Amino acid sequence: MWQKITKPYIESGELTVIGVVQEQHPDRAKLYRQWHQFDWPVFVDALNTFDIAAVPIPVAIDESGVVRHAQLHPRDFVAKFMKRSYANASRPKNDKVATLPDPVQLANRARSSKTADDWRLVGDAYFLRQGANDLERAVDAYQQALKLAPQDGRAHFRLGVTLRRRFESAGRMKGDAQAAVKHWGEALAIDPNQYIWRRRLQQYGPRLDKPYDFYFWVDKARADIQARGERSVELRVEPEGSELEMPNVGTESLRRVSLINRDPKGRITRDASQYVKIDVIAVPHVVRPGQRIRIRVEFLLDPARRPVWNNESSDLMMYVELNKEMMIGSGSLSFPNPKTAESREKRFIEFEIDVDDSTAPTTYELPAYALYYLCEKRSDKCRYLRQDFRVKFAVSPDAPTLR
Amino acid sequence: MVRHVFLAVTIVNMLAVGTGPAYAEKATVGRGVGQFFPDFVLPDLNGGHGSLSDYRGKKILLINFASW
Repeated sequence: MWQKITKPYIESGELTVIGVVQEQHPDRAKLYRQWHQFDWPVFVDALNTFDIAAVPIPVAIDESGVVRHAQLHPRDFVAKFMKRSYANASRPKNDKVATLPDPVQLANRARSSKTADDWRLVGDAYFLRQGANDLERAVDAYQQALKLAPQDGRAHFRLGVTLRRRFESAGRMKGDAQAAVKHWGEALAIDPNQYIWRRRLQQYGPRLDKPYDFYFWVDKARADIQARGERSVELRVEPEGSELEMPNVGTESLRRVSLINRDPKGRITRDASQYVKIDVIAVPHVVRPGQRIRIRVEFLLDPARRPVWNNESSDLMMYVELNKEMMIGSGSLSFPNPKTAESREKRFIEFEIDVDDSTAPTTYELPAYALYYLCEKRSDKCRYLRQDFRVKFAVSPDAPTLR
Repeated sequence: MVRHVFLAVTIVNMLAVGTGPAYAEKATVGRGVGQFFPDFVLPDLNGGHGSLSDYRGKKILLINFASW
């Protein structure tokens, strides 16, 4: 819509359009821009430093830099903005040209002021720099902010964004994704009307809580771009699982997944040295009785010893021991083997747990295990292994709803 | 009374036309209507950074949006 109506004014040199995208992944914004052929610059505000509570927000700014419409409707764009002339105004004295903030300088200030606001700015500055180790330092700074102000929703949200970014980086630490969910949940509990925060949780959450599948457009975008003879922007992190799954609308009946305990006596050899690293993510981390949780379990091969998945046997499978008030509604408890005899990909299993109305409010740690075949290249030894883990989440009547 | 109304209308007109210095004295930095939109630095889509001040001089439409 904006693309079409702004184009003539961009071409005549009267207008500059600038996009600011509220997105966890900048490369998805880049693909979106390529698909829609936006010929204007786009900036990424993954942290929501703009502090906006909804999108889209088109702000009309005149030649002098004065805001003329804080929420411009497309039908008013021509008559109430482009056709108007505004007199020159000189900028106020306290208006400064922004530069990339210096996190070291800001940290010195925060150490003496001891305020959450100042520590949050340190986190923002490190995140913004995008250099090596900057994510670690941003995490530390936001944690400092939260020590001083545990109810700082912005610090919770931004810490979540940073942890998720680290989870998808080489510096990934076990538990990062779950910790991100926890902080997004806490942010939302502090301000349930913050739509941008809510969206980030919904992105990874149960289908019941989704208005639509967020990244449905990616395949279409790629096809359209290819049809134009262009090469589409590559995504560093492909949308998968909950990000693509269709929402569960209305009265659609649930596909109950049967639970098969394939090793009830625990006789299968344990993967004691963890050739496979398992990370469990529950979204949301606190749920109300009667709601649903989306569980994602990631399986990563140890990068140092580099074993391979042996695909000539049965699929990777998992088992989870549910309480009687819980049920698995939709999803799968296995990851299908690829066609090749061996592979090294990250694997994941996603499913949803229905938590009954009668579920007692407390913290749950459901026992679970996975069974997989892998081969160690050095010794050429192939083994069938079991690894135990826990699926953790809490049930509370005070949990924020995602819908 | 009539004169007061006339005076008020004149002042409103002056503000609308905007005699530069008079406006600037009262102007503040902020995102509300009549304020000077603050400059910002954010990552661009090519691994670098950019700021609003790189694009000043024309009318600007700044759109916060999302792909989802």
